Amino acid sequence: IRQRNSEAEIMEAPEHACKYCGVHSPSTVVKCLHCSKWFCNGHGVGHSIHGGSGSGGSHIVTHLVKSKHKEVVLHPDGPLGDTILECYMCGSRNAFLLGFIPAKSDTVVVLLCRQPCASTPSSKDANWDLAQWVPLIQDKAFLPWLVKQPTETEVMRSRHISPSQIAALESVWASGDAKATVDDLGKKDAADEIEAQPVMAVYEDAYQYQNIFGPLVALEAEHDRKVKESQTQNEVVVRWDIGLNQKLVAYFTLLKLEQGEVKLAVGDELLIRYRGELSREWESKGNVIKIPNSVSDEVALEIRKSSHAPTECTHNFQVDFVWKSTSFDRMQNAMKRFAVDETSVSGYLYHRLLGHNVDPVTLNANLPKKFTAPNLPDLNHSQVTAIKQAIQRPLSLIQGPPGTGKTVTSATIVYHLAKMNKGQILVCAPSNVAVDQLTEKIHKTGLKVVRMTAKSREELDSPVGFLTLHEQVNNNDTNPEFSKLIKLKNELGELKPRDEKRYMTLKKQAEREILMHANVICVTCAGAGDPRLSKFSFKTVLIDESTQSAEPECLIPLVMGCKQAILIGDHQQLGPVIMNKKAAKAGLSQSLFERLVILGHRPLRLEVQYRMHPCLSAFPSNMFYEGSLMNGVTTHDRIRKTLEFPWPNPDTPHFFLSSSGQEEISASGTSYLNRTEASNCEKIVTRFLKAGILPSQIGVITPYEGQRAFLVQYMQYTGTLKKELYKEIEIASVDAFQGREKDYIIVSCVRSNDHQGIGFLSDPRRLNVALTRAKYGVCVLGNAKVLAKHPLWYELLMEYKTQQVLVEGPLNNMHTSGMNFSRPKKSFA
Amino acid sequence: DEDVVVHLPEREVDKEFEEEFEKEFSKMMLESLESRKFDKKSAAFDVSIPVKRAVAFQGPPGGAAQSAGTEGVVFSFLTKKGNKQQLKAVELPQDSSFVQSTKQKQEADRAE
Ligand SMILES: [Zn+2]
Ligand SMILES: [Zn+2]
Ligand SMILES: [Zn+2]
Repeated sequence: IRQRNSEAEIMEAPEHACKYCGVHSPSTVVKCLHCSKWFCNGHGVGHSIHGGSGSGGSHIVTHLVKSKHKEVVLHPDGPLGDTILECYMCGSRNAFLLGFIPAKSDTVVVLLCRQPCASTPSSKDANWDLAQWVPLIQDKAFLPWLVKQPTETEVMRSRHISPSQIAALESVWASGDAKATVDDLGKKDAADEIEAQPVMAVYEDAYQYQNIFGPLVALEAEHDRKVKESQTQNEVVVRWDIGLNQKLVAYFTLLKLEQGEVKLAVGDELLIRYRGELSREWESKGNVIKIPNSVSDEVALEIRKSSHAPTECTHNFQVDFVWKSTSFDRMQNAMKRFAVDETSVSGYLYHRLLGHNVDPVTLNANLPKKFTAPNLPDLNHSQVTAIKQAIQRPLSLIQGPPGTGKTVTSATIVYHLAKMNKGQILVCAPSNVAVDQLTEKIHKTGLKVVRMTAKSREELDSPVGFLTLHEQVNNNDTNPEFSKLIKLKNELGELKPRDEKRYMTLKKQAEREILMHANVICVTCAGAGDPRLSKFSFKTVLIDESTQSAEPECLIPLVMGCKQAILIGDHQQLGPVIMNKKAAKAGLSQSLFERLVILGHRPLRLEVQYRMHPCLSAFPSNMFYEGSLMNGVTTHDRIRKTLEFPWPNPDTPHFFLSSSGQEEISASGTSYLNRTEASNCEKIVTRFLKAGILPSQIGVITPYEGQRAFLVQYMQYTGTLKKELYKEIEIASVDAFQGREKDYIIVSCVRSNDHQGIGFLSDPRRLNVALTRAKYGVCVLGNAKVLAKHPLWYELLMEYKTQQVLVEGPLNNMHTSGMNFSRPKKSFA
Repeated sequence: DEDVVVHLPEREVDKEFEEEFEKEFSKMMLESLESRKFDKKSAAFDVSIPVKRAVAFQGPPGGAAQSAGTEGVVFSFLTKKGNKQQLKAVELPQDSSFVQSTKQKQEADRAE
């Protein structure tokens, strides 16, 4: 099911770009007539523009010398048109012999070869002044008035090729590989093994950037493809149903999902085939509209081609994943565009993104008198500071620790920038959920917002459905012909070919119309590469949750003409998920935001948190935010006095319940579970439910898939209340809870052994996220003795101990633990 | 529309490469000259200058290499396509030897 998506035509440099450095304005390049390659008349970076003796040759002269080629032609679009440089008299084209002479009494010049044409004495009354002959190549460059030197800006944004790279490239060409490029130089002969060079903090130029990230993205894509394509599942049993929209839906369970080998998301594409003998062969693609949750392990697939579907059959189906390269192609394309298209981002951003040292720039912007946007909450001091900065600077980083109002801040920034009339604003985030949340908030301010989704997601319910491009198109009432076709299509399901063609044309028009009239377009980072936006350019781009996307993903919205970029995120929470180990190790899992922080860009931090009971925010604040987090909620706001729950200290609703229950390898053999913790978890949940807390207010976090699956089963079997109540409780990994909150959170740590590590739990960012999801209370279940060996957990456990909320024993009779820990040798930095 | 001040770390000049290039360049020049040393002397160059002038100079496209304040002087570049003469406009900077000598001549003419 390999499907090359040709949608993204990869952006290429023009044919006439300098083969060394990529500079391509027509007045600065010439073509070597011998090998038909183009070169610029510049010296590249590191030489003063006006060469002077001692410095190397201009790129064209260097090429001619290195390759022993001699003849050139100017670019047709240059000021002189496609002129071949040759002696007017004898026609010699050897550039090393040619030179200009002027007319004696007129402003006319002509090219003559030095030997013999310019060395034959002429009569005194001749029209031309041979004595003034000047060579075409001076200071190892062509005369700059004939072939221009690239500007400093052009040179800075070009590929920074080194002399040794030039020498290597010329020798590859000489050995017969005329098509070789600078990018091919480093590549090993074993082409099937993709080389992974580690990422860097600073890049010479965008070509180097692309050369590092390109292979990493390719590795990740290859990994993704292999995993998806190996997921063919046979003997699938199907249950058929009709959805609310009258579309056919197939329900089934996929074993491989349970084993955690593959991640399935709503909107993904699957291919379902009938392989039995009770009906004729049938297959159709479909979109996933439901993934396994605590209610059921079934996947729901909305069938695209329901005609002839064997709905009378239930057995012998086969399900394949359909791998799409789209988002990877878009990343590669964005990197290419970053390198070859100088309009992709402003010069300032170009150099900042590559980590160059650039003098700071302030934009001309009048700050608003009032910072609060219509229908959005009032702002605190740190939010206003962040908004001010974002408005005035071409590049801002805003760090939003948990519960500090990132989305409101983002929406307010977008509101003010839109009011300043800076053109359309592109708003992105890596996940659809985050984009939806932002869309909703921005819409509240009264701006015209369009939420564009991938076509495969159009049928999914969305909280901002009425703002989506497809619904706005369908609700169109300006064109009666189009409205009629829409109605017809809805009623009949499909149109006659001629009508369908017309419908598509009108739809494209309507889409463009709606997009053009929006103040703000909201889309996922990968979605910004949608062909429907290819003609658009966005000077202002805001990326929320930017710390959760890999750099090349962030680049997709940025290379659409960006001059002002606002990146929001928190590098102390979870980063992007990279499945390929090699790519992750090489640094693809480091976000752009994080790299900019490493380079010394101090992010503006939002400092007031409105989520957690103050006792819950204290540890994360001290550990991850230099103690800077202030509480925008009081203990009073976050205490349920009447709640019947055995908190060791009712004023500080949290505890660590230590048990020494053993971990076990889970049924799939690839994960862990812990029965003691599962039992404690069920008892806590039951207490909460009995006390009147709704299932939707409780979340259970466990880092292991094995424990998650076990908990779902265990609670329903053992829980003393109605099964449905337990089913509604969300049990998931830390990653699934990022960006979200619950009233009460139970964390089940699972790992409990004396020799091995604590796995996932040793990542401080994961711990930070787990501890900061709850508003009213946190219960941590784990083996304190084991966890305390890890420096960070040691700190956390000491904190619990000091507050006398490190406890042991059964839930209805918990007592403070007298356990003592010795400080681990390594300390937490 | 923007002024960006970028500070790039100084690049180390590759002395070895430069010296080698220096040699190769001189060799190329020399060889080119040598190759025509024994060519027959041609007739003296004396083409008449066409009267018809090239169209007005349009300025460099793509905004390359802006002259720093000083406007250049537009010359015509005489070329040949087949047997047809062509004039193309080309802007020479004020400090070029051709412009200097043209100016001197003009002043001399005026003085007469
Ligand atoms: Zn060549
Ligand atoms: Zn070049
Ligand atoms: Zn000649």
